[in-house]
This record gives sequence, structure tokens and C-alpha cells, in this order.
Amino acid sequence: MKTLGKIFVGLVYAVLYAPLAVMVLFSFNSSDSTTIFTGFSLRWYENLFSDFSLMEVLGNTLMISVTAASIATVLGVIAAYGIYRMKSKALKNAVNTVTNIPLTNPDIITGVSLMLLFTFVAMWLGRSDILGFWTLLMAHITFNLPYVILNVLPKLYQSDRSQYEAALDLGCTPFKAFRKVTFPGIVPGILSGFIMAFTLSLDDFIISYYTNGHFSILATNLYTAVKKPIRPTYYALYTLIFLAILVLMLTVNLMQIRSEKKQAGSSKLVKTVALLVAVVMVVSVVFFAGGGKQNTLQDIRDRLEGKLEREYTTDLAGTTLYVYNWGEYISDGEDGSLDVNLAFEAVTGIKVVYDTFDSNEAMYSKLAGGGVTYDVLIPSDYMVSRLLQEGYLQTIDFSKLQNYHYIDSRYLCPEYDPTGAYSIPYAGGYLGVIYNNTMVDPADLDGTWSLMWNEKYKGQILNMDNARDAFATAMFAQGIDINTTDPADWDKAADYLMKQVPLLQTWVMDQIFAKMEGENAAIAAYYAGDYMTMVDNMEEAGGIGDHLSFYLPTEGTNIFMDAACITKDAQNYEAALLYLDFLMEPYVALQNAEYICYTCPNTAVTTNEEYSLMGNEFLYPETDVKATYYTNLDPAVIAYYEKLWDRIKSGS
Amino acid sequence: MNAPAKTVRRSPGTVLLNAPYMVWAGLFIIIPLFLVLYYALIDSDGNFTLNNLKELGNYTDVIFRSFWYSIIATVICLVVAYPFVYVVCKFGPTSKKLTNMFVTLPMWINLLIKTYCLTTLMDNNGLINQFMAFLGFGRLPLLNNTGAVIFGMVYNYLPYMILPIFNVMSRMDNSLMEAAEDLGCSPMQRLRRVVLPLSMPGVISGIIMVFIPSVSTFYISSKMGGTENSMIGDLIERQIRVQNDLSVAAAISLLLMVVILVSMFVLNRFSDDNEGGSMLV
Amino acid sequence: MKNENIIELKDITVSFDGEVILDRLNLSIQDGAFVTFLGRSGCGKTTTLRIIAGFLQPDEGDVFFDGQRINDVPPYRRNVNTIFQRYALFPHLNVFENVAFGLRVKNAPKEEVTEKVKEMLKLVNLEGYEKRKVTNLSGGQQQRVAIARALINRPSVLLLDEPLSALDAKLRKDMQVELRRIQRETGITFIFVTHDQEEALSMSDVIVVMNDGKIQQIGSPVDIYNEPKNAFVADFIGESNIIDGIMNRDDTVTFAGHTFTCVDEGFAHNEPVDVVIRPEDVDVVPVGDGMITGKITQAIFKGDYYELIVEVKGFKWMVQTTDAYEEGQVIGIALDPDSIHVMHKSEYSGLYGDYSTFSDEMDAPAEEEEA
Repeated sequence: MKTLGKIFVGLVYAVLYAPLAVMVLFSFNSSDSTTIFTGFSLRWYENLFSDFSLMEVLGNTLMISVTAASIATVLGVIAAYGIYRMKSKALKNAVNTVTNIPLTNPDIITGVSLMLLFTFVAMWLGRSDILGFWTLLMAHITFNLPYVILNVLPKLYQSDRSQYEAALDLGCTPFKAFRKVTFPGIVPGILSGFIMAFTLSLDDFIISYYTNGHFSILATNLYTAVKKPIRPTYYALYTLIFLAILVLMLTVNLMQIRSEKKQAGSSKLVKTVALLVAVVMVVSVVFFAGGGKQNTLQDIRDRLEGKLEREYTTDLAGTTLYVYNWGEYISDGEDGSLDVNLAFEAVTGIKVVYDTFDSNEAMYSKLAGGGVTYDVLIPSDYMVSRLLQEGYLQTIDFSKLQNYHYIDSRYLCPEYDPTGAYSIPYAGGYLGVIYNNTMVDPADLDGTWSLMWNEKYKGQILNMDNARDAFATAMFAQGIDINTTDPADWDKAADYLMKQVPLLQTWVMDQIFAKMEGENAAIAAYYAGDYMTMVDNMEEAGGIGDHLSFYLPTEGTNIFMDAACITKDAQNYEAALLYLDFLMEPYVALQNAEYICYTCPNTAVTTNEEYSLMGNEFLYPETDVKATYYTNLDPAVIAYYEKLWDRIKSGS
Repeated sequence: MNAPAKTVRRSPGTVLLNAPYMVWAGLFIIIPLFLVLYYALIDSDGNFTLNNLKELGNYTDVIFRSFWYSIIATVICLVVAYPFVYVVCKFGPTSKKLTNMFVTLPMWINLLIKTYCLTTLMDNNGLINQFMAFLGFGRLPLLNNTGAVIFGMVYNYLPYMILPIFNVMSRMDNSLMEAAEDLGCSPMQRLRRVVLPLSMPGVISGIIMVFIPSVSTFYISSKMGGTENSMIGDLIERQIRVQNDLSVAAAISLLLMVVILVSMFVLNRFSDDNEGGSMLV
Repeated sequence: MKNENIIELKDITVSFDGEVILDRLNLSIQDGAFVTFLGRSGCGKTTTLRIIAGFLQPDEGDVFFDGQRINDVPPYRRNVNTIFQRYALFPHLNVFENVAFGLRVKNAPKEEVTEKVKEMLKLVNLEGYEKRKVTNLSGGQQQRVAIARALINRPSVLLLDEPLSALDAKLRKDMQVELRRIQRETGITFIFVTHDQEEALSMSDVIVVMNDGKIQQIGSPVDIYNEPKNAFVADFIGESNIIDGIMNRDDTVTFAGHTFTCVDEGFAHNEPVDVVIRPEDVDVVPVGDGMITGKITQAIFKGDYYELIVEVKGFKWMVQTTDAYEEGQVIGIALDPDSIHVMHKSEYSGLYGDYSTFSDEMDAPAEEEEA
């Protein structure tokens, strides 16, 4: 019986710790794979400490957690004392009920309800930039408060009222009596309330996700990170956090065992002190990394020396530019590439806050939802057209641009932006089918979309996680016009997609990299450029990129162009213009095009002999590809197919 | 004899003490909930409508699925956590201390990264299947199915079941156990007649603390569930982030809130017979 | 009272973490007796009780119940019940269900349960409390519930682990009488553990004085008080002056510079001994009339008597007398042969019985927390 018990406990621990063991192990991997251990290395730890944006996020996280926990503690103690002194029982019950609401409500409801509050206020004030540090702080204080109150209240009820009265009797004012007599008794409750508030703040994802706006903290940053194949840098970071907590807990436990007889309060004090020491240490690391940033900016300036077409020094240095782009869609400094955003900061002094989305619709919802705005957006063609029609964009002042002439004339004044005044082509390409040639039988390859419906590959197929692209795959397969406005056509496509549901492994966007590179799925619809990126990644990881193949289906496919725009609400218009010009800089554009592997509309790149992707059959096909752009559809049609899509996703 | 004795009883101080929190709670707890109600009852032009609530009818599958999965996950958590705590508490004081620590430790690592690591283990070509293939066995479809979603919830929320039960059971007076044995209880009878009823407050808070995040999860189901296991959380998230339909999101939130409120009420009635307050970690 | 031994302990040895708690303990307990284990905290009395209850396995030695070896019988199969120090009532059950617990476990029929619980509650004077929550009862009432709960299974032996220590003084006196009555009425063997000598003297048929994991003396309260076997027992039970002496021969002992006639026999010639004089047995007489003289260093009025600390040849005696004396007065001391009790020297000799550092605080009850 006892051995059986031990085996059971051991098993539970094994399951509980298995993912953590994986995390720790692969934080020491020499490649960026999270499933194949290629050898021991510390590169991800080096990477971590030189990753300024991550360090900044870490700093943000601590700032929010410490501030929110401190304010919540002060407010909570006052509130608890107030509740304790309250005489009306009914009022007391009412307040306690309210206090319990954030505890019993699911986080997602607390998050959504606060988001509604903030966007409502934003609407009312007519401001679109309300979500950020302050709203996040208020949200954190709100969900921290009940925990502080619930930790302090019992201590107050335990405290001896007659001592407080004795203090008054001896001449103390009520405040002094509270400070001298009541307060020391509730200190352990205050400390555990603070610790709990701090740790909850540190760990919260859902509520932050709905209230943070541009202000990135670790959890929201991680949410973007885990959509793609995670960089082991995050493993390294969480391994360090894990170890730090482990050491902290062991120390506290040992001290507790040593001073068994001492008051529980002293161990709480030890915990708090240890926590503060840890915070101070992290802050100094972040600060230290901040110093390192200056060196890196200088390195970038040296690298760009003489390579830029124009001067970027302005009096805008020190301002911030908010950019919203697709995920995995800019050169980010990995493996010696140019970090475009950091480079922009290096030459202009303008800090770029860079967020990513994984579908046009997600981007649109964030803008339309209110409360948050960006200066620069890079959506796809049909979405540019929609934003333009709905008044989200403003014209670009081309007189202030010097590199616009590099844009290939073929792409100027496109259908989606007929005057060409609102957008500048950024990168484009074709939708196609990626498949694993070791898993797919060559006999099944007929170059059509029907491969995505082949029952032989049940559970191995991935479709795209957004309505427009997913519908397009079905429409091409069924011979329907992808820009149809006939509901019957959409119904037909929806039925066909429904048929695919049982065959699919899942819907993906950026997760596709982990799925296809890791050979977890056999067939996927995705963009040509990302197929190229996968091959590149595979080659860098272990030299085997040849198990993935790609084709442009014969029934026809989607061609797209993503274009940079400036929003109507842009707070930093001049900086946005500089950014657009910077993206068109021949050197920058080349670096970027090499990194993202998409079709580049910049002639300075396509005519450059060093550009390795020129002539690639999927990016620059020589023969005519049967391909159609999406056009912006009538809002009623959009609503119609979005509802269909919602049904498909809900499985109902 | 002047002021002091009086000020204890009725000072304007009490009002001042309560004001900040009441204002805060009103602004950030009460008003947002009314906003949920408000948004659930308006259309995109701001006019009153019941259509959003009617829309819920389209999602009955998702709603029932969410509750069903969460109930299963909660029951599994209970079935694992209870014997776990029971056994650990028998091992002695050192084991108790360590349990508290080792169960809390994984809670410090963000759910997103833990779940990501889980998927690298469970994917079609994940670590477990690589190992299976290495041993010459076939690959198992571990991910992207209902079992995976439930496992994901059990994995992430198990500590929330273990800790409250542990808090109650580790502090249970040993002399009560001896008294039961003394009065003729075999170990099984003792478990049924004394340990189980005494640990009910812990079990109830455990159930609440596992059920609520499970029923509202959106990351676990979308990351581990494949195509046919969408849950309420995904639905709300999708209405807000993709469909841009705050009103339907609010209507679903409202429904979720009401259902949870009702089940909490039932649970509390059920736990009223037991001693001890709620135990939130 | 039958003359059979219901419980027998043979050579019981127990140690925790290398510390010996019980050292080759042998003990027989007669059926139907009220037996008290008396000793300071840590003396092993609770450990002995737990061995009888079955909560603890001895490292060595055997436990017999009615002649049967029961070492390996778990507590729930022993016909022995316990009253715990803090009663250990089940907080989730009301008074009725607490008392009924033992029967419920046996799946007794409903009528039997109702009837027996009623009978038990009557025995402990708690009729009408059936539906009360045990957490809302006073200490004395909880105590009664604990007794009823333990007795409902009609155990052959009831073990009581310091059951009165949590009660206030008045209630404790009442419960002593109550327990004694219940024991007589039921005829069940009671084994009672306490550190309070007064409790032990007033309730027990037999007292087992324990110290350092060993039994110091077993006997009736009168025997223990009048004929303590060694300095420890003499000191622990009541007040005692313990003085070094020499046993010249039978019935003659020399101490405090004087040779006394006594009634003790069977010692070796000129054997060094401990002599016990109870404070109330000392006659205070005028200086010339006494066998020895002493000087009063302290005199305290105690209501019905005076307590004197008297220095006799450098050794401080405690003397109780009904007459008034003052500090500094020199007095004579006379002793009857009956009031002199001679003991063999033991490991405790010289440790007790001197009142040089005497203070009134001494008999404040010690905190009782045994392993």
C-alpha cells in the first residue's frame, strides 16, 4: 500500500514536471529546435541578456506588478480596516459580495468587462489611445485588491480590540492607535496579501491581454511568442525564473525549519525581503542591459554607415512610433540579420513599439474595438481598401519621401488604393500548398487544392485560421469566384469547409512553422514566402530542408500585396513618414527581403545582384500564375461569411 | 473624559476609510459588469435588442461542450488530487513541507509556456512520439483531440485542486484520526466518515478553483484541441478579436457569468453544512 | 472487583530518535480498577497509554489484553476506548452523531443507536443537547460528550489522557467526582493520565508514579503518600523534607545531628538513607523540649495553618503548624517515630526535599505536551 502510494505520488510529480523538464533541457539546446536536442550550449542565455526588447518587457512586467501590488496593498488595507469598522451588517455583506466578484468571475469576463469599460470611456472621450500602462495598472489593482483584503481582514478580526481601546485611553489619536497597536498585528496579513498580489500580477495573462494596449508585459509578449515556434530565449528566461523561485522557496523553507518556534510573521518578512532582493536584482540586470543597448545601437549605426540614401536625423528623436504588422514579417536581427526596427531607432532616435497580428481580421478588430491605435499598419490589399473606405487611413505626404521611386511601377496605384495616396507596397506573394514529401504519396499529388481534402491524410492537414484565406481554399477547389457576393456561393464553400473539418489536424497561422518544420503535419495551405522561410529555418537548424515542398494549385490561387499605411489617428505622422521611407531604403529593403522571403516590390532589391531569391519560381514565377487578388467586399457579405466561419470554428 | 471613547464608535473616519475602496469597486467591478449587460442588449447602432441573446442559441454545442469538458477535468483533478494529498499527508511533516513547495513551484511558470511545452511533448512528431518511434512502436494521436484538451486543463489546474485540499488535510487534527480509529473505524471507514467530511471545504474550493478557469479557458482548447473542441473562451475571444462583435461577446460572457453564479450558489448551499471558510490557496 | 489483570505490559521499551521514552516497563492493571498514571510531562505516561490504545507499537516487549497478546491488533479492533486531551470531537457531527459514532461504524440498527445514545447522554447529564453543534459547547460539556462517545461501545478499558487539564479549577473538581461516579456505575477499568498529584490522590484506586520512562512506585493513594519508595515519589506527592541520614539499626536513625526512634526495619547496618518528614508531621515545641532546634527564616500565614521555613543545621525544612510564629524566632522540633519515614538511597537522593529556594510558584501546573 505504501509503495503504491509512493508510485502514485511520483507519477503525479512526473507529469507535473515533465513539461518543465522539457523547457529546462531545451533552454540549453544549441539549435532553436524545441523537439530535437542538437547539443549543449548557453547561446539562449546570452541571447536573453542581449535581447533588449525582452528586457524592456521584463522591466515593464516588474513595474506593473510592483506598482499594482503596492497600490492594491495600501488601498486594500484601508478598505479592510473600513470593512472591519463598518457597523451595518447589510452594508458589510454587500461590500464582501462585491469583493468576491473578481475572485469568482472567470478571468476572461473580468478582462472583457474591463476592456468594455475602457473602450466605452475612450469612445466617450473621443480618444483612441486609452489602452496602455494606466489601464493595465488599474486592471491589475482591481484583481489584486480582493486578495489583499481577504488576507488582512481575518488578522483584523483576530486582533484584540481592547488593546486599541487601551491605546486611545492612554491618549493616542485613533490614527496613532491604529499605527501603534492594530497595525503591527496585521503585518503578516499585509505581507502575504502583497506577495499574493505581486505573484498574481506577474502571472496574469488573460486580464492583461484585454487591457494592455501597446504596453507589453511578459505574459502578453509570451502569447505572441507561443504562436510561432517559440524562441528558446523564453525557455532560458523561464528556466532562470524557475531556478530563482526554487532557491527562494528552499531558503525560506530551510529558515522556517530552523526557526520552527518563531512567529509565522518572521518567515513572511523573510519572503518579502527575498522577493524585494530578487526584484532589485532583475531591475539592475534590465538596467545593465539598457546600457548594452547603446553599444548595439552604435554597432548598427556603424553597419549602416554610408549605406543609406538619405539623412534621418530629426528633432523627433526620443518620440515613439507604434507599428502594427503581420507576425514573422520583418527582419528582427536573428542570425546576423539587420534588426530593422532597432536600426530605425539607431539612425533616428525614434523608438519603435512593434506589435504583430496574425490575420487582417484580427488587426481590423483591434482597431475597430477602440482604445488603441497605431501610427503605421501593414495590412493586405483588400483590407487596405476596407480601412480606406471606412476612414481609418490618411494620405501619405509623398513630398517628404525620397525612396518611393524604388517601388516597381507595376504595383503603383493598385485596385485596392486607386489613387495610390494611402499605401506603399511592402511585400507580397501567392497562397499555395506546402506538403511534406516524405509523408505524402507522390501518386496523390495532382497539383490541385483537392489534396487538402484527401481523406488519406486525415489528421495531417492544416488549413488557415482566418475566414478569407480558408474560404479561398474551398472556393478555388470548387471553382467559385473568391470575390463573389452571392450568399449561395459562400454557403457552398462553407459546406465544403465543413467536410474538411474532420480531416483537419487544426487551424493555424504562425503556428504553421512549428507544425511543418517539426513534421507534425503533412499538408498545409500557406504563403509562398513562409514556405521559403521554413526551408531556410530547417537548413539553419540541421541542414535538412528538403522534406518540404510547395506548389501553386492549378485551379488558381490568391495573390496578395501587403502595403504600409498611416492611420488617421496617428500620433506621430512625421515619424511614420520617416519609417516608410526607411523601409524603402535599398540596403534595408534588401536585408528585409532576404529575411522574410516574400516577393519584393522594391526595384532596388530586385535589380540587385546580391539578392539571392531573385528568380525563385514561387516568388517571381516566370510563367503566368492563375491568381486573383481579394477585393474588399460589401460589409453585409463580410458579416455573412464571418458568421459562417464562426459556425465552422465553433463546431456547431 | 472627552473625545476618544466617542471617536471609536462614530467617527467620520469610517466613511473616509471606506470611500476609496467603494469608489474603486464601483468603477472597476460593478460598472464593468453592467456594461457587459448593456452591450449584450444593444445592436451595433446602440439600439436595444434581444438578438444577441438569441444568437446564443447558435452556440449551444460550444456551451454544453465547455461545461461538459470542465466537469470531466474537475472530476479527474479531484480523483487525482485527493488520494495524492491523502498519501502525502501520511508520509510525515517533511513530506508535507516539500509537497507545498513542489506543488506551488510549477504554478510560477506561465500557463502559456507550460502548455506550449506540453504540445512539444504530445504533437504528432513530438518528443513522446519520437520516443515511441525510437522504440519501434506506432505514433499515438495525443494532440488535437478531446482527450488532449481535458488533459491540458487537468495538467494546468491540478495544483489548484491539490492546494486547498492539502491546506485542509495537512492541518487536520491527528487526534481526530486516532479518535476515529479508537472508536472502531477501519482505515477505509475513517476515510469515509471523518477525513472526507472534514476535508469538504477544501474539496469545494478546489472544485471552484479548477472549474472556473477550465470552463472559460481559450488558450488550452485552441492550442490542444484541433478543430472540433472549441470552447466558450475561444468563442468570446473570437467575437472580440476576429468577428469584432462585442455584443455577442458580452451576451456569451453574461451567460457564462450567470451559470457560474448559479453553480456557486448551489455549491455554497452544499458546503454550508461544513465548518471552515473558503480556502483560496 | 475481580482480581484478574485486564492489561499487562511486559518489558515495554520505546524510543524516539534515539531517546528512550519507556525503559523496560512492566505493569499489570486489574479489571475494574481506577488506575492513574502520574508523572511530569515527558515521563512516558502518555506513551504508555498510547501503547495500550494501539496508536503506538513498542520497540520491544509485549502488550496483553485479558491474557491475549495484542501487539499487532490495530486500535479499531481493541476493546479499549480513549478520551483525548482536547476531546477530539468530530466538528462535522452534532452531539448525537458524535456519541453515536462508534455504533454507526458498526452499522448498528437505528433503534439501538437512538436508545444507547440516549442512555449515554443521560449518564453524562447531557440530555436535550442531541442536536447541538459540538463546537458551540463549553469545555465541560465537550468533555461529557467525549466520555459518552467513548463509553457507548462498552469498552473493557477506558483510557483518559489528561482529560481535565483544559478545564478551570472549579469544573475540574466537579468532573473528578463525575468521573469517579461513572467509573463506579459502569464498572469499566479507567486508566487515567495526569500530572496533577491531587487529582491522582482523590480519584484513584491505584496510582502508578512514573519518571524517566520508569515506574517509580505502584500503590494505593494512601501507600504512596505515606510510604514513598524514594525521594522522587516523596517529593512529587505532597510536600516533603528529605534529609540525609544513617540507619544505625532497625528502628533507629540518625539525622540532623540527632538519633531518632522510628518504625522502619530491614536496612543494612549503618546504611546511608533518605529520611522523609512531611511538614504537617513536625511538632513545633519550645526550644528546650525539642529533639533538635532551628531558626525560622520565613513564616507565611496560609489561612488554616502557618507555613514555616526552618533552618536546621544548614538544611531548610518546611513545617506546617496551627500556631503563629515570627521570622527569626528559634524553635524546638519534635518528631513521633510514626512520622519518620526512611527510604533507601536512590538516583534521586539529594535532588529534592530542600526548601532553600522554595517559592509558592512551585506547584503551578506544568505545560503538558508529550510526544
